[in-house]
Amino acid sequence: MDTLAQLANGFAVAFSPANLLWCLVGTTLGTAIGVLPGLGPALTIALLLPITFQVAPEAAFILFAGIYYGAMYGGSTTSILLNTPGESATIVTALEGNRMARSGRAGAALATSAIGSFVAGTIGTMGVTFLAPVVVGLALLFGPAEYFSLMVLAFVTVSAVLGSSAVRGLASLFLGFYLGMIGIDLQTGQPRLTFGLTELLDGTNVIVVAVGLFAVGETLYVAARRHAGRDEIVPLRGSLYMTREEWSRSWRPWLRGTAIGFPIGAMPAGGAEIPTFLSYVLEKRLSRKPEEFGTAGAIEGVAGPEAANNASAAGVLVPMLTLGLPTSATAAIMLSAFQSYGIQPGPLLLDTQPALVWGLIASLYVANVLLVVLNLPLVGLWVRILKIPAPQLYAGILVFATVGTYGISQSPIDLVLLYILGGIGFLMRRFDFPTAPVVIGMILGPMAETEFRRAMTISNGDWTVLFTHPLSAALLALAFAALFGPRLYRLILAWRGPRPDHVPGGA
Amino acid sequence: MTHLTRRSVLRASLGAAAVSLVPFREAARAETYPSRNVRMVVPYAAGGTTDFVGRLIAEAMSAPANGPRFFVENKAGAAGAIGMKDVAGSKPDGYTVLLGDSTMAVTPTLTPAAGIDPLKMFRPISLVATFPSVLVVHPSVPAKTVAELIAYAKANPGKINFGSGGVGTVPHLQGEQFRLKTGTSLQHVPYRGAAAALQDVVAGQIQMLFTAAPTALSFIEGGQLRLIATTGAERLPIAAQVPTLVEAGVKDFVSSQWFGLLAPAGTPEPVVARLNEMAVRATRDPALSKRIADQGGFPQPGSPDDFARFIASEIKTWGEVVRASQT
Repeated sequence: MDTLAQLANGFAVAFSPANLLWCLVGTTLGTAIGVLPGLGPALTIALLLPITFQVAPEAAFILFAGIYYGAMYGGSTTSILLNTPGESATIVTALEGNRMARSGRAGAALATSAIGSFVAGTIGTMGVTFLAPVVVGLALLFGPAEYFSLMVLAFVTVSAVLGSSAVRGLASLFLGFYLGMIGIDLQTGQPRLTFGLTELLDGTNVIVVAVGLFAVGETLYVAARRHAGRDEIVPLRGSLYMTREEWSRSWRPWLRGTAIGFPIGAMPAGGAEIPTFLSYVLEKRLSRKPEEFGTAGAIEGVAGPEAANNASAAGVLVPMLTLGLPTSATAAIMLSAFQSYGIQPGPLLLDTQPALVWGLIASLYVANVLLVVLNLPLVGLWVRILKIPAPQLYAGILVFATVGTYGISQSPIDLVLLYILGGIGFLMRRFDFPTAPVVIGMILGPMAETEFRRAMTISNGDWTVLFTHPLSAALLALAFAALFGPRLYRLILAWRGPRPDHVPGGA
Repeated sequence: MTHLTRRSVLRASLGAAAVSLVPFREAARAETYPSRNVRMVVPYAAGGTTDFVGRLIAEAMSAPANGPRFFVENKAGAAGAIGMKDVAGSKPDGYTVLLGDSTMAVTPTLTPAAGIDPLKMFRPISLVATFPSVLVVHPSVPAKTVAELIAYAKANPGKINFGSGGVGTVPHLQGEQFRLKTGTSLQHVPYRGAAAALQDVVAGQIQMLFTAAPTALSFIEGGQLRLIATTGAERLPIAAQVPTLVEAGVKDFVSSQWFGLLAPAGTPEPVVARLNEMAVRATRDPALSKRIADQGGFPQPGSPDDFARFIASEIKTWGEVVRASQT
């Protein structure tokens, strides 16, 4: 009950009028920068760092936490409406979310992501409150071998987004690997595939790739086909918010997304992208209407990943508050704000600064409530964007994508890259190659490579570590089951007696 | 060709005109400098140590409050090369300065293709602060002193992996330097950022780490890491009981991460002198000194020429380590 007493003290801090106001400012600002492309929470908090010279630490961190959570809410908006993900955590949201928007269910997609974010954010914050020491202990068990096995599991499940043709899907995946390899090799410090361009030394930004392939490619495709007389966007069909059926299809994905997102977010190298992939794949497998995935847009494919990315945002706070270790750019900047107050983040932070830490945690609950209250009414406003006639809407998307890309690192090379990738995206769309595997390959490929080589360095080249570490072995077994389980299951069914309606190769 | 020639002729004549004006304008500028805001480029993303030092010094140099301000601009990328080139290519009038760090002494040897030559590109203004690293090990390593660590590493070749925030970072090179000076066989494991490396040494995935003092100290207090030595010329005030590597018998092992102010090459000397005066005064400010010391650093302001000599010696030291570790 000690935790509850501490949390109550935290709420006393968070509910002071001034701090509530900071929370409101933070969440509003966070939502806004989440919607604007190229502006992320990390940059915004960095710009606001000087504020730490003026206000009390509690107020500053409540503001920063509001921005952090707010950006996670706002980020999905452009993914759904414009197919232009503003950050890597919402790339998966664009897959189904934008299809829903095109078939007139933008309101439902935005609502399920807002409410799913609320559910996941609240459960995730509870996780931070009650489970942080346990979770961080587990996260520390994850070494390079375990991460590599987790990547293997992710690769196996990725097959679900490869599309109908394995060859085309794999070609896309490998294009992603190629793009992911550009830049300085972490292990040797040697530049790879940079063609002597300084700007490419840091690699290609996954957001530039996603926006280029999704938004620019899509715009070119629509422009090329416009005279064929197809205008596919339906502004709104049915009710603005979710229908009863959509509610019943959303709540389980919310919970499952949370369960995947929080622990992976708490892992040092976990991040927000992998849980969104895993959640997407899981929902696609479990959905009662799998035929809606990739066609009309399935609400599960928005609800799950959106919950997963918000839960992972809460997870990131676990190592930050319990160990003082940042596992994302935003957390790193928040930690530097601790330092500018002369507060040393680390394993003793909870003991030395209880009012600050618990005030921050309590304000996360408040921020979640404020965000859902703030975001649901906005849905009606956002949906109107889709009523803009197609030529103007797509021109707007191009402007938005260009400005956003330039905003990321002010590099003209990124803009060239954006339009080259837009051209590739157009060709891929034209010749029916799926674009999502490019982005997934680009994120997973380099991570898998790095973790594998790191594991091999530590073990002096002994690859059996992948099987002798129990966690790693368990993850590999899970990957094996995911790969062969369905086939074995079908074999067993067939052995029990072939059913007449069985279509060979139909699955 | 004609076009090119015409253009270069034009540029040359403009240059000549500018040169003839220099003495007059220089005198006018130095007296009134700074008459407007000064851009201080930090060649890394916000949130790191360089950014921390940059914001502190920019704030302190901006006094008095109503005068022209120094404002930090983060221009990250390619291990600082993009920000450094930005400053080197800016007008050398004192209104663009760089908050540079030890990386600029490593890059010329490690990545010659990046085209960084600090002493040609910049006019050093003043060293600001040095931050020695701490040498920590996971408690599973049965060594409490430097001598025990060396003995253990020699008896168990390949057992000790040391982490770093990336190839060519100072903690990486300190590890290589330690390996070379002690004749031990240590394996380097690079991470993306110092925090990830720290995490893995706390978890026991790797055994040893050179890293910045403050974050490591809280783990040392909690018993999750063991502090073996520090790398500076003198002991760290925030960990005064721990010997330096030199005290512990590793000959000539003094190295730190450092941060200093530089202007584009060709900045008029009176402006450099004025900037140096401002930087030295700001660094000596007791409030700023204390904040640097709390983060495990030593404020070390000095003259422009001292800083230039220091950079030259750093390029030599790290150049030798880089070359030795590559063979």
